[in-house]
Amino acid sequence: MSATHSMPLAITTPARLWQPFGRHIGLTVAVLYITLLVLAAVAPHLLTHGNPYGIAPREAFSPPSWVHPLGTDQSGRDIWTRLVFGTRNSLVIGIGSILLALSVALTLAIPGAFGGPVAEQSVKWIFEILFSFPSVVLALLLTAIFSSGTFPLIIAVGIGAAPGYGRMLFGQFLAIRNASFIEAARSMGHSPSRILRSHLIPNAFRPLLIAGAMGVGQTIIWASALSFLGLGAPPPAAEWGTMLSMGRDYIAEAWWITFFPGVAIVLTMLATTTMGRFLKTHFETNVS
Amino acid sequence: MLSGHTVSQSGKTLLLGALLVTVCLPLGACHKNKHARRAGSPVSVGTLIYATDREPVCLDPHVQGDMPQVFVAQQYLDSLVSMDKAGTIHPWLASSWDISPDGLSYTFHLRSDVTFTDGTPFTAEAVKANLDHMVDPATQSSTAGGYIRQYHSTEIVDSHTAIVHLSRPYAAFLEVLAQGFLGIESPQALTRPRDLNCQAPVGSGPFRIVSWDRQNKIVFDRNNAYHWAPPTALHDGPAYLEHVEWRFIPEPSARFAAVQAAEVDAIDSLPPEAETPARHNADLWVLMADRPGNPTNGTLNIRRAPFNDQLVREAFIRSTDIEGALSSVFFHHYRRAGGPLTATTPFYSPDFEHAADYNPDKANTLLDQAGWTTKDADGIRKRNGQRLTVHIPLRASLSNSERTLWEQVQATARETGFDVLLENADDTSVNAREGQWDYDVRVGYWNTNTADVLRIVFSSEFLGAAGIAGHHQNESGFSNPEFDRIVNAALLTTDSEQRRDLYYQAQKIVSAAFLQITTYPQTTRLAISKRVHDIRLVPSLNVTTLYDAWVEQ
Repeated sequence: MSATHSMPLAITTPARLWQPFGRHIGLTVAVLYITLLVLAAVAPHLLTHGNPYGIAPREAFSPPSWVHPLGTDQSGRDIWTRLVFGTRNSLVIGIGSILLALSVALTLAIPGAFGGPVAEQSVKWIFEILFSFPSVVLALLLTAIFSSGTFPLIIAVGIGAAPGYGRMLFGQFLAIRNASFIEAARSMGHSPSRILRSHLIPNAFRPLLIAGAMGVGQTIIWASALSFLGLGAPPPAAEWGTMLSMGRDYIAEAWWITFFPGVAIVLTMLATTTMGRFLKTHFETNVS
Repeated sequence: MLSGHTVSQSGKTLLLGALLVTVCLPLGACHKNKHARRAGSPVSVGTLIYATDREPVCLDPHVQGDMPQVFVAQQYLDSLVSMDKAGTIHPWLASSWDISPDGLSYTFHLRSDVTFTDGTPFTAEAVKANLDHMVDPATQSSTAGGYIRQYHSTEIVDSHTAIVHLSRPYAAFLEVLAQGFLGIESPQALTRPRDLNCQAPVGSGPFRIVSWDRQNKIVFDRNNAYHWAPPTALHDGPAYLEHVEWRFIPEPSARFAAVQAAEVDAIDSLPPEAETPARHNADLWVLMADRPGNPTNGTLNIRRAPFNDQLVREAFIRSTDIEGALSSVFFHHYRRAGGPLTATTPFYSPDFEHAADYNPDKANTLLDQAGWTTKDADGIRKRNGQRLTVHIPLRASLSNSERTLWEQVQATARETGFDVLLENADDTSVNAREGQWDYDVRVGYWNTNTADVLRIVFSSEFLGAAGIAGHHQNESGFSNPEFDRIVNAALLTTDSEQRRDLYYQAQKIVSAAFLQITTYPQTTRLAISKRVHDIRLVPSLNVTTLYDAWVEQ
C-alpha cells in the first residue's frame, strides 16, 4: 500500500475515464443512479409535481398505482415525491459529514505526522481514545448533546466517522514522511509548507478521494439509522431514515411505505461503493 | 419474519379448521363442543405472559402516577373500596363506611382477615400510613396526591376502624379511592427508602411482585392466602394463575407479532393498524373499553404568545383536521372525543363535542381579527414582523400513530398560516420543558373516573409544580375564578342533579375558552389468545386485572 501511494498522482485522460463504461454495466447503472440522485437533490421539481408535505388523509395507505407510483404513506403523502425531496437532505448529510470527517481527520493527522514526537504521540493517544467508542455510539452521544436535526446529524456522523479516516491518513502521512522523495525535497531546501502542498497533499489526495467516495454511502446509512431512531430532521422533513421508521408499524398492511425508502438507501450505498471501487482500481492500475 | 408468522399461523388455523370439520360433521356436535370448551371451568395452574408497551418509572403507583404504574398496581394491590360498571361503590378492604353529615369525616370499618404479602396485617394503621404517604411531598405524587388534596388526617379508633378527616367536603372521594393509583400498600414496606419501595412494593393483592428486570419484565407469583376479592370479581380465593410475566415490548408491530405467534398470551395497547387483523384472527379475542377522564389531547399554553390570545387558540383548533387523522392513521377505529370529558365520564355532556370542529374558513377570519394579517413567502402569517409559530415538544415514547396525528395537525394548520414545529426529544427533556411552561402545545391525557378531572386539569388550584419532573396538572395555565367556584361547589354536594348542572357549566366554560385540541378517548385495548379466559377490566379506570384469568392447559 505504502509503495504505490508514495508515487506521484497520475493524470487521467477523459478517454480512459470513459473506457470502463462499455465493459461494466454495474458502473454505468451506478453513474446513472447517482446522476438521478444529483438531479433530485438539485431540481426535485423536474422529477415530480407533487408537494412532499401535502397530506391527504383520505388517500392514506394507497398501494402503488398510476397516480401514486410508489403508493402513499399513513398521511396520504406521495412516497415518490417524498423520496425525491428527501434526496437533498440525505445527500447533504452524506457528503457534508464525509467532508467534516475528512477535515477533522486531516487536522489531526497532519500535525501528528509532521509536528514532532510529542504531537505524534498525542495524536496516537487521541485516536486510541476515539476508537474506544464504536463510531455509531459516538454519533449517538453527539446527537444527544446537539439535539436532533440535519446540522447536528452532519456533526454527529462526521465526528463519529473521523477517527477511522484520521488513522488511515495518519499512517499514510507517516509513510510519506519517510519516503525518499520527501527527503530529496527537504535536502533541496524546500520549505515545509511547499513540501506539504506539492508532495504530501497530492499523494494523500488519492486515498482521500477513494475513502470519501466509498464513505458517502456509509455515512448516508448512518444518518438514516440515526433518523430511524428519531434523531434526524424534525417532521415534516422527508428524510429516508425517518420515512423508513414511520412506516415500520404498517409493514404488514402497507409494505410500500418502508420498502421504497429502504431500496433508495440500499441503491445509494451500492452506487457510491461501486463508484469508489472503480476509482480505487482505476488509480491503482494507472499507477502500476 | 412478521409475515412469515402470519402465514404459518393462519395456515395452522386452516388445517385445524379442516380437521374439526371432518371430525365433527358426522357427529353433528361441533358447535356445542366448541362452546363447552369456551365455557369450561377454570384451572388453577400455569403462567400467563402479558406484554405491554411502556415500562413504569416506579412500581409504587403513589409515586408520580402514570398509567403503566396503575396497570401493574392492579395486580398486586387492593383498594379500600371497589366500583362496578354502573359507577356504584362497593366494599373491598373496607367492609363498610359512614360519612358525617358535613361530608368531612369518613369512618371506614375494615376487614380483619387481610394480610399483606410481607406478613404485615392490614389494620387502621395501614390506612393512615398509605394516605399520609400519598400526600407527603417527598412521595412526589402527581396523581394520587393530587386527588386527595382535601385529605387532612386519619384518626385510628381501633385496629379495624379508621376515621379519615377532610379539610373540605369531597364528593368524589370514594370514586378516587376505588382507583388502583390509591391502592393500599404494606405500611411496613412503605417505611423503606423510596427507591427500594419503587423496585419491590408490597400489597395484599392476588399476586406479589417477585422481581423487576428493567427493560425486560416484571415477574409475579400467586398470593396463595388471598380470599378478599372485591364483589366485582368473578370468584373469591387465590388467583387461578400461578405466575404472571409482565413483559415490555415497546415496538407495536413486534408486540402484535408476539401474540399472533403465541409467544405471549395477551398484549395491551393494540395499535390501530392491528385491530382489524386481530379481530379476524381465529386464535385471538379483543377486549376494549374507553377510559373515563380528559381525553387524549394537545393542551394549549395560554401563558405566552401566541395562545394567550383566545382568537388564535380558536383559530388553531379550527384549523386542525382531527377527523382526517382518525380516518387515516387510526383506520376509523378511534372515535372523535370533541369535548373536555370522555363520554364514559360521569356527568359528561355531548353538547360540547362540536364546540371547535375543523373549519379553516372560520380559522382564517379569526386570525385576521387577531391581527395576524400578513403572510410571508412560506405562507406563514405574521404580526408586527413576528411569525405565527407554535412549538410542540414530542416525547420519544409517543406512538407512531400519535406522532403522525401531530404531523397531520402540522400540515393542516399550515394551510391557515401556522408554522407548527414538532420538536422530537427524549422524555426527560420534554418533562423539563413542561416544568418551565416551555411549550405551546402539550400532548397528554388524564384518566380518572370522575368529572372532578376538570378541576385538576383546568382549575387554578393545580397550577403549581407536581410529580417528579415538576410538570403542572393544569398544563394550559387557565385561571378563572368563576370556573374554580363551580368545580369546587360540585364537590360540596352529593345531589347528582346539582352536580350534573355544575359540571355542565364547567364543561361550557372550558369549551368556550378553547384550551385543548381533544382528539380521541383514552382506551384500554387488549388482544388476547383464545386459550386465555376471563381477563377483565376493573371498572374504575378500565385497567386490566388478571385475578380471574386462567389459561387452558
